[in-house]
Amino acid sequence: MKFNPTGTLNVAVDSSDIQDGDFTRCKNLRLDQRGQAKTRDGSAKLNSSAINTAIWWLEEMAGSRFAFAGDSIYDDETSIASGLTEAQWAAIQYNAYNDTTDNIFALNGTDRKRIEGGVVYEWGLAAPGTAPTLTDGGGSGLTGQFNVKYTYVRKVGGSIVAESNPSDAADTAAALDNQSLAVSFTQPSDSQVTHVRLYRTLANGVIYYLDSEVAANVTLTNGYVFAWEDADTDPDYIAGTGYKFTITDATNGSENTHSWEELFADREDTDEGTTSGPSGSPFTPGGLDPLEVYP
Amino acid sequence: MSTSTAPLDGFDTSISDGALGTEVSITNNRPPLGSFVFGPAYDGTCFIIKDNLLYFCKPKQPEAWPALNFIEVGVPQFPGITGVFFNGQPHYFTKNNIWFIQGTGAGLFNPIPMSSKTGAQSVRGAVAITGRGIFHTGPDGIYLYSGSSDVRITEPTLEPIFRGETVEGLPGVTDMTTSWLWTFKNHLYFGYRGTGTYADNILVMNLETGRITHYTYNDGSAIEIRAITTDKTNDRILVGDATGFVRVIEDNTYTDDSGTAITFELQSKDFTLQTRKHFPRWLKYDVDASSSTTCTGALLLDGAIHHSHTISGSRTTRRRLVGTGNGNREAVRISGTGPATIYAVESE
Repeated sequence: MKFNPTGTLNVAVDSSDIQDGDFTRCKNLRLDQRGQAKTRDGSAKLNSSAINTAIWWLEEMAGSRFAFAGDSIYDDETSIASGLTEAQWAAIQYNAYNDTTDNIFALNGTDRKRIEGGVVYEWGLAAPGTAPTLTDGGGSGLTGQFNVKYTYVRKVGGSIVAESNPSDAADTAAALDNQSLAVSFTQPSDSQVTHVRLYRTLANGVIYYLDSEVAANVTLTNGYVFAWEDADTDPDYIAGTGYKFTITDATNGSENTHSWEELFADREDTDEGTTSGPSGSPFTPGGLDPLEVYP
Repeated sequence: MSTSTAPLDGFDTSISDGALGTEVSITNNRPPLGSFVFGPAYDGTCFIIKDNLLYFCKPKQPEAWPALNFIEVGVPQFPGITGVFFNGQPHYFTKNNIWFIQGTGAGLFNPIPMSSKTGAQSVRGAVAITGRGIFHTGPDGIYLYSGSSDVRITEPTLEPIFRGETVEGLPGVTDMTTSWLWTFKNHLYFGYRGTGTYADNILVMNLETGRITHYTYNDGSAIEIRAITTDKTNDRILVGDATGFVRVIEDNTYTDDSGTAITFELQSKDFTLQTRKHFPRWLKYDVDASSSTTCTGALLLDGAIHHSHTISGSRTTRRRLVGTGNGNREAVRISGTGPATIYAVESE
């Protein structure tokens, strides 16, 4: 009798009827070279302490291991998200629209997550849940009935990589007579949103077109010289927070100039540094000149 | 100078109608709360399975899933389980069937039921390989669907274990819903649950030669594999086990399983003589056991170990005498722990 391991494991056929080179047991031996059976290659743990025992899904991206385990997501065995539903996950890798950075897109029937740069975000952008409110603004130029919707946007550089569906339209359209349209919207709570886009109708129209885009969650800074200027309690101060020559527009959350004040836009010099404001205008491509309504 | 801050949550516009931009899109819905996602397809379309519905996103926009971008596939009683691409087209699997998703986009996708024998039993229950077809799991084995046929490839060699029978130490399959298929470096891996709770046995098939072997992992206790993926950056397989560890397997830089020597076992067929019994007198083992921890050769007569020898060194083929005995069937078994290479065994 001569036995060479040239065949395959076979437990379906009677052990005396299989081919001479076949075998009835073949455990932990690899058979990649004809005539040889070698002990298989080994294995090793990559983490010294265990993560959640219910590892639903593994995904490797750019050398990082992402484990969806239990109620958490791990990046190289370090938790980057928790409190998720414990269910079978599935995931793909793909780049966002207009972007070249790979993302992981994953879901489990209850949670939808996007992972980029080791940070977990929601997959997709939820539409704004609150309709805008409209009033007549401080400018001029628009006449007719107008309504507005707005969306949340994620931009990478100058490119839009994701945009939400629009909010509901304002409950009450604005009727303007050579006025500007002031819009109040709700800032996004989703940290991946970078911009808010305003869409409005044509005069007396029903279709919404892009009007303006503003950076999300911009906080504007007002400067004041003395600490006591920050107080709202002293009626001697001219307006709002601090000592400012402006009128508070509570509806629009802005500080408007008095009509008697000279506008930067009307000045011949280019001095824009004496009053504080955002380092870069959040308004694009149009909208009210930020120098006319100074937040 | 000190400062105070205020959020900007409104603005004022007086842009003329003629200067407005594009129309707002109302099809940027978030993805549905499905159970499985696969893609992208060649045109950048991704797919999500939710119950018996197959949703698809806008091409190249994995964050925009129009509410009406879905097709109904089969009946609700048999929801989709998984999906793969084969020949560039998506294939959708229920427990019992394969659906070919014909078409190229919204309004054009059509689910065509294939005459497959079964579907897939788990989210990792199907893998597509170019030129071969789709390997998928049925309740009674692994099938290969090639478009024109659906063949149970485990029928000739592994059939009994899919009926739950343990054969020659190879545990029967006790649950296909926790099984998985994976491919890596010209091998098909099938993990299944034998005695544990998750896949504690792996069958490995060389896709070129069709040769099948059986792996188990043990680092002091049996390792049950729940999840598997390919680390393309480092060209290796990663698995997640049922104790919360991520492991690399099939790594030739390791010769053990996290410090535990690998046990191996190989047993020949039962050799028979047509008209007479075997009366073996000696054995020669052509085995390189120079690096192994232990290595034993055994002669089996009629299924029972008749004589065993300790094997050491590299390919030392001296004659090893066997005690007196005879039997109708003669087989040899080589087992041990640690690295070893088995070339041949001869007896007379």
